[in-house]
Amino acid sequence: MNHIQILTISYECEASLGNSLNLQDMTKNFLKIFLKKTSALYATIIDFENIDGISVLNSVGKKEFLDTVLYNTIDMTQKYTIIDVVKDFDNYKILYMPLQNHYLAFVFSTKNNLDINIVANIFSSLKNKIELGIRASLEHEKLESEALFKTNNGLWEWNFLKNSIYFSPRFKKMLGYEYDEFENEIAFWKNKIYPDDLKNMTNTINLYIEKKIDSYKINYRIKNKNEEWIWILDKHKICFNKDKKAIAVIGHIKSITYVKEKF
Amino acid sequence: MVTLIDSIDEIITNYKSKNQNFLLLVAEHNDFTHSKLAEISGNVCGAIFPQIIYKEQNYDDKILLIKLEKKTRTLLTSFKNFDENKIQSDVQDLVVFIDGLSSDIDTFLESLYESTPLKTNIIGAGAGKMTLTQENVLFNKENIIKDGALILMSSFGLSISAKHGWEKIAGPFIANDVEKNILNSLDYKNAFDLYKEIVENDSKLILKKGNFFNIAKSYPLGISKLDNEILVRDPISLNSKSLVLIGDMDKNSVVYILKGEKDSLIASAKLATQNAICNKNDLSGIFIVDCISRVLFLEDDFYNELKIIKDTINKDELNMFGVISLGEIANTNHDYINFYNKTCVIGAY
Repeated sequence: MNHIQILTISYECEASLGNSLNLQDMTKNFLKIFLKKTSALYATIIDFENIDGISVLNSVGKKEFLDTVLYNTIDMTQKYTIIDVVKDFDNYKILYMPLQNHYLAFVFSTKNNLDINIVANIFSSLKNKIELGIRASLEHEKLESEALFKTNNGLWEWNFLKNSIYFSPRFKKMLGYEYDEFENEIAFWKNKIYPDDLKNMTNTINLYIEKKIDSYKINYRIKNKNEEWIWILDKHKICFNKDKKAIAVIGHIKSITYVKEKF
Repeated sequence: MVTLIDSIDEIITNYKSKNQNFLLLVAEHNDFTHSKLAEISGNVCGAIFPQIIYKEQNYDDKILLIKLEKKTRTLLTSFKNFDENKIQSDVQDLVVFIDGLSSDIDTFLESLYESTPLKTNIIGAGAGKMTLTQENVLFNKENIIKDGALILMSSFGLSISAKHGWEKIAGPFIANDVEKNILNSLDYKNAFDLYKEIVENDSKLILKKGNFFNIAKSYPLGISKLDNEILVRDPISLNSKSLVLIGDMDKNSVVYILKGEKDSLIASAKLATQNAICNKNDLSGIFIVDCISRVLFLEDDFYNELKIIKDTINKDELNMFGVISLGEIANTNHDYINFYNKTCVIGAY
């Protein structure tokens, strides 16, 4: 492997990063290029901090290698680890590269006479950029999801400093009211919430203020204009000032009556 | 059994009522009419290529008839509707004919590669005609399609090797603007302008739209790989200032302009044959997939390429047949799957 080749592969792999803010597209794109340029047989990115346990974020190539990749325990403190494995009487090398909440794994045939350490060092030199790409994609997905939530859902804001409350036109519409029919009054609003659920919501807000946690979701029932109870999913964001004192809570509501009734 | 046939009528006369399964490899100037296949009682599938190979000769107007064993399963599918689950989970060898002029080849090959078992060998060829216009070229008895693939699944006992013999003359350049098989820009210049400058300088010929393929066939592009191999890409036509390639190129690929010498190309065919047969103790035949642009480049010397393959096998009684293709496929699971151009692929069985 000469210098030009190493430089070429390094450039091509680096250029494959950050071409999309969609996490699936971004990871698929760079795994595919890494695979093609280095003659690997399989490449995968594993998320080991997923809420449901270890999960495959994406993979390219021969899927049969996944079990072999997951079988080995790797040292996350090392820059990279290369493990020799035998599968169906053939020899392979697996290159593991730890990231912050993920790790990358590449499977190579030993018949290629490739110096895997050089490949590992090329990939390692791109580690920060890979991390940045993943973080940017995750952040982008979060923002997109929040924007979607805001667009489709009603908004309210309770200002603790002024002890005032505001309900958006969409919020009022979701409860069947014209804008002027629903007062921007705390008492008026509380009176509409199912008593047990109101108690629970107040306790929850106080608990999260105390724990300095700024976002969470709760469900409750609220009475609409037709005097029917409808189920609401309310995503709360508590705003703290620089002294960590809660100054407001903002909620985005979404009707989940259909879900509650069906399930 | 492999037979060289002059016409589809001859097949109907001789095989009409024989309940056998056949693969037909049709050269583009044959008067093949798909609708006539309905007269044959057995299952028939096949593809149309610029030329076919039988023994040491290439033909542009004949048909190769290959009798398929009953255990060989066939699948004709469009790329769009390709169902990975239809690939047998224990298949050892795949012979894959695809629409060589489609722009969805890479996506299909990636999907095919991912769906095949670990040790499956894949050999294949791009079908199509020298008009370089997409036509329906893949068929079974019921349908004839483009933008798709014909897949044969069995245990042929294939040993595969692919070599090309092209050498770098200029580069590296960065393919900074590519859309699938359309190369728009090299080193941030119009791809054609840069390519033209280098090719004209080397060939002392003027490159323009009218003579593009005649000259470009001798100057393919090569994508460098880490294992010292070069993946060749054939520029077949011009689209304004862009080069139209057979097969996709990844954005930001580092590419070279290549040139071939007749001797090095013929030597590469010999090497591919040696590699393919060296591990075969029970050799029964050779299936060749050779690129049309090698035929155009080697001209009369293409005979020498076929002769050297035959001499390397050194067994007169063996079947030696194949296709002259628009792109080649070869994968033996030491490497990720690639769609080759200007390459000689040998499948020993």
